[in-house]
Amino acid sequence: MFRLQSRQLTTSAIARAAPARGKAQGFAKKTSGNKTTARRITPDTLYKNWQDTVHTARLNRYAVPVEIPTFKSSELQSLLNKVTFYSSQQYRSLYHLGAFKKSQFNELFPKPISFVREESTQKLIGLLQNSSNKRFVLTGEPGVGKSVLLSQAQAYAAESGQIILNFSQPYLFLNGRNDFFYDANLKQYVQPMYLKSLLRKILKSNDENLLRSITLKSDYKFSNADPKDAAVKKFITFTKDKNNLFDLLTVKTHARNRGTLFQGLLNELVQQSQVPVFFSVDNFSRMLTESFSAYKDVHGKNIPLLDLQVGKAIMEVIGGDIKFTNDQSSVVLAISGVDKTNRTLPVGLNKLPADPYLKRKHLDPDFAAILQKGKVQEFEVPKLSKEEVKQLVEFYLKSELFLNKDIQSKSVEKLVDEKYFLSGNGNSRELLKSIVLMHL
Amino acid sequence: MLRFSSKGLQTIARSSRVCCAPSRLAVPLTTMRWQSNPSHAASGTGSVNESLSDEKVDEWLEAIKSLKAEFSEQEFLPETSLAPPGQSRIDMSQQISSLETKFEPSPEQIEEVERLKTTPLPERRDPVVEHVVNMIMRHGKKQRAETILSRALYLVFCQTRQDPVEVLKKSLDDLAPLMVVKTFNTGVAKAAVIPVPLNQRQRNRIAWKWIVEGADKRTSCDFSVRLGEELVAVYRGKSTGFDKRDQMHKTAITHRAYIKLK
Repeated sequence: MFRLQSRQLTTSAIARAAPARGKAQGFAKKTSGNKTTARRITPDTLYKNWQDTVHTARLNRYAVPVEIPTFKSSELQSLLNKVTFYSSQQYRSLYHLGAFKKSQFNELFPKPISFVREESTQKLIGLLQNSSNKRFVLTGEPGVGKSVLLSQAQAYAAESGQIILNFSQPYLFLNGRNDFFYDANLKQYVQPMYLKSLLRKILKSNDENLLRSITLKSDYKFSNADPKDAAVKKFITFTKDKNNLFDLLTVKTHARNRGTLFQGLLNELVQQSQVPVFFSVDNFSRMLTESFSAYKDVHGKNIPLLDLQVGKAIMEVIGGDIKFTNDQSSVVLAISGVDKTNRTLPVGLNKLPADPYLKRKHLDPDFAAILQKGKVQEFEVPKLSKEEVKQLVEFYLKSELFLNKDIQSKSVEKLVDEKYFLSGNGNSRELLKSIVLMHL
Repeated sequence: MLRFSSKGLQTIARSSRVCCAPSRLAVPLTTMRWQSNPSHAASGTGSVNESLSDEKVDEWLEAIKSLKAEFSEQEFLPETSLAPPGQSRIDMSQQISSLETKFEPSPEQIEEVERLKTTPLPERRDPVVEHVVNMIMRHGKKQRAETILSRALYLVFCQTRQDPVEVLKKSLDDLAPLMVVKTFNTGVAKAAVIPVPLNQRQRNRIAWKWIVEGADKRTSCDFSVRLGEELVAVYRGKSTGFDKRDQMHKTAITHRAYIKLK
């Protein structure tokens, strides 16, 4: 019995160990039959998915240069219905702010372009200059140009010497991918890693001299985390009227202090009155439609957005609890077409009556109350008119985006008619898509 | 049910007071109208409501009964039923044609039609691109195949800044072999290996097979990116498919003696 079993065991083991026909026997060489060889990634390799590839592969190197004017908020009247580049100072600021998004087809042109429109650009900048309550939320259908309009407003703010505080993607502090802890002093959840990148953004996107011109209004003391002199100097202290905002932004301190640092920065910005603050949130609908972040507390429950330090700060600025002393300061929010929609925004804008029986995911009464309290006004971005489509089509013709069969067989008027129709009567993203993503 | 019917009767009677000679077809209509607007009825004919004459009611019931008989016994004949009182029948086609307005083309439109008669209709879709889409398509998902190709061509455009459809056609034409060798059984010991020319569609198919093979060796997880990269490589003459084409041509040339020219 035993003999039989052992015999079977050995034969099966040999059968399993036998090499396949035509392959060398031995242990030294590893068989690589069904294993694919690792592909080497060189600088030229495109290894991401399509959307990330077109965004990051620096395809704008090959773009056809076209001579166009530079965006200047003081000369808007002469730039109306014209495609413009930003100035290099504006580009530096806007790139750091994260104003140029994926799926904007920026790779088609040497630099991101902006189209100056009377109904959106000029009107919004006029409102930002003259309106008494400068809180706006940009609405409109997906692809109509809300983010582009926001970046134009940011360019105006950078040009007119305002401090820009921008939150380009709320999901960065809502999706639970950053470290966080409960700060007992602030009684809020703080995200040190997110705050580090945010503070760097604020530092890089604003003019250094502007930041240096604002002196501090109170004293600060942080533990020193600078590797150069941390052993010698334990603390960094800032005294009021002596140090400035630039010092506060460049301080190297430990992660546990970063919540206090951000709070201090916000307080300084609120108290100073010499420089207006331009506060903007893009993709704001992400905040409005999700009352709870993906972070979990010690009980395994999702942490509400209003318990996060950043979320709370943004909502307080919108609601007017945090009010910047300089009355030229403005708040501009832009919703996004990719987020889901609910009734919070229409109720907050007093377009719909509040229904008390709705669930929180359909209507968040707190957020609606904050919007109502801040008297946030809607600014609806209109679709392109036919004249504007014509201007854009002419610019795209100069940039050589069209297929040869379109150029050869159709006149400009016919192309404009056709593209106006295909773009859904003037949606700018659909217009570009109908030119560069329709080959059939 | 009973109450409703008696109420209906009342309203019929009420309306008969107002419009003394109602046409037979208008009975249900007036009934509905008066029911939906009871306040008006009460204010207009409130005093006469109580003094209903039995003759009137009988008259109305008679009318309803005759209508019921008309519609239950024979099918609905609009020619006779819709005829005005003095006439027995009406011509429906004449009635309809009198309602319609004739379309009159303007001279410019006529001229345009004449002008466009000579110009041929443009092709709706490019046949080569259509063929490529069909080769990409799996499980009948054509929309998906179109998206993949459009995105690949967008990458091609961004890298070459040429018309991507023309780049695609040119690279297919460059890569495609002209001949293929086929083995025919002769019935005797030796099989005949004969070069056979390919038509355009067959050439494109073989070229596309090689392009996809080259694309699958690339890194990206997205097929459209791999395809775009490979198409640019073919356009620049750097693809491995050219070796395959040369090999195929070489075989065809060595077997050229077997070509039968009648």
